[in-house]
Amino acid sequence: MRRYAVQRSLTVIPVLLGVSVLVFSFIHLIPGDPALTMLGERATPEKVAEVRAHLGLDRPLWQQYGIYVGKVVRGDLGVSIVRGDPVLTDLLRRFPATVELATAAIVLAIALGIPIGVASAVWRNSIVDSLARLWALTGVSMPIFWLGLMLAWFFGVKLRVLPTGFRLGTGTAFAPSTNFVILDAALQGNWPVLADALRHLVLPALALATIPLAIIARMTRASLLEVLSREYIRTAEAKGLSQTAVVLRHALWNALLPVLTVVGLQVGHLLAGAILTETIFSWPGIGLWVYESIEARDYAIVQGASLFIAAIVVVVNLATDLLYALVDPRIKYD
Amino acid sequence: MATVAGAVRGAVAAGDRGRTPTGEAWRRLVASPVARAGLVVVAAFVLIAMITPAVHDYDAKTDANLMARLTPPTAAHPFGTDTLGRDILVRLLHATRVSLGLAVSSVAIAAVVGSTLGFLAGYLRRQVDLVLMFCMDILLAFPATLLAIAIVAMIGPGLRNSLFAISLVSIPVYARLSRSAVLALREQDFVIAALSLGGSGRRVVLSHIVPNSLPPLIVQTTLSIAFAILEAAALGFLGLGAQPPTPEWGAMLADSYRYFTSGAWWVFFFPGAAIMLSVLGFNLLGDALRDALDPRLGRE
Repeated sequence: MRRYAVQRSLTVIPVLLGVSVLVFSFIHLIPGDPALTMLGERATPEKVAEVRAHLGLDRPLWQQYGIYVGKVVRGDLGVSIVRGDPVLTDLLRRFPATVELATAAIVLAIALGIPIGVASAVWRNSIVDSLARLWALTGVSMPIFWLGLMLAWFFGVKLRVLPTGFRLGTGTAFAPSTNFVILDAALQGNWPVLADALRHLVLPALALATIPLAIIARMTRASLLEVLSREYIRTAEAKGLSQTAVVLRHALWNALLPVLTVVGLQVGHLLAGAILTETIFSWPGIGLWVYESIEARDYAIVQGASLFIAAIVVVVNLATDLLYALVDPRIKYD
Repeated sequence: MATVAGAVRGAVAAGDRGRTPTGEAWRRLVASPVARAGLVVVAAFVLIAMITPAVHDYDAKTDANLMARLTPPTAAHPFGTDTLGRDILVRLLHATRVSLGLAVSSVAIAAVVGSTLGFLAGYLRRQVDLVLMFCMDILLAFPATLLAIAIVAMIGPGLRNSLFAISLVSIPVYARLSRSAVLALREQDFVIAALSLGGSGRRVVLSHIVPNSLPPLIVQTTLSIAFAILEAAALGFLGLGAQPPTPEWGAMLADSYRYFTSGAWWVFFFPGAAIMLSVLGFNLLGDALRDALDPRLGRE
């Protein structure tokens, strides 16, 4: 296990380096003179020269990359071209909102997806199974920004029962200490704020959870069916155990191992999906920020946020693999 | 729809004639109701994409009728009108060609480039394999949607740039699939036999390995098109894909989604429904193809 953990962890280093090369090259994908594109047509030549020098565009490529990696390692993701703020500071300030949304979505996806998958596998080929499979297939086919709009329209505009944007109502005064609004409100025992925050969370979380939910349900079904066909399940049944006991005590735990990997893989989808979901619901996380930065041609933010998200995905995948090896002693590194 | 059913029946008859593997797979495919549903949906969208521009002239640049802004669905405008008074149904039909064309062509590029890279990696092994697969791992480290968005944000919005970005993020899956197919096939007896009979490496790859690794690639292509439609729509929705006034499903949503607070549900309902339905069609077909092309399932 320790050998596997060390070797698997080491594979992260070249991948992160490769990711940094790709993100670094983003700036060179900008057609023409990046400095001029960033500043727009009316920029003075002095200003363009200043930005060029600041970006290091006048140096050879390998030097530029070296400087870039050096800065990133020291936690410097550049500065916003439009507002001049350090990218990392803004990123960390906005990240809690995205974490809150993504956590709610994945919890929702697991809490609904696994039972649906289990029901689907246990009552295989029944009407429950057919409906669940059709629902899962619809879920993976869903443009989540469209679903978000429909939810906002139906619950927010038509029924007027849930808010359609932002994290808190405009009338709610609250000074969060960590930007995790729900956590802060719960810790401070501020129940009205907590209720308001949760009401704002429901629709975006539901929209963001759709695809992971469908994927988890499909994976749980396939994995459980596979496990249920094994010999040791036949033995358990032959001992006279009830079907519930066989499924819950013997099959489900083993069937959930592949599901764990799928859940880990969803983190990337959640962070990318947040760009769409946050845009619909004016949710002030990094997704909305990336969207606004694209519109404002604030390339440093797009670059910084992409690197940040990719790094998180790489680390989460590592953690998932390590966790998998921890709970499944059969895994060996080869 | 009569033509679709006719085409399906004709093809079924063709499958009956020969007991070829392709015929068998086709029989298994159309035997499943899921596959038939997927086939009908996909065929319908493809037909719309092909026929609409031929039977109806549409000039997006001059289309506007400010007197009829945001009209709810009526007999004259079955899907209502948008913020510029444009008929949503007309724009949806014309958008089919743009959206579907973008998805299909980017997947075609990705499939050709990706599987060629994968065949090369699997056949040449050693350094080529290492380097190529490392590059694929880097691409896979990014959530595909994020990478596509970031690339188009950098190189600039537009259909051609979207095509490039969606192709690029779709390449790794083909490289991996075809590489593992080569690695599995090169240990098979018939490949070893072909090699020991003096077949050149290139010939064995082209006439034995490539044809035999097609089934998983075909399934993947169907599923990739579903994914590419979603990606294209997401880019369009973020204003990075087709530029106004070009009709494209995602861009149509972006044009008018802010009006949802006024209760104008039709402006976003129909474009989104078209996206979902077409994606669902390709997903249904892909799932059914996977079952049909797996010979291990055999005849029951």
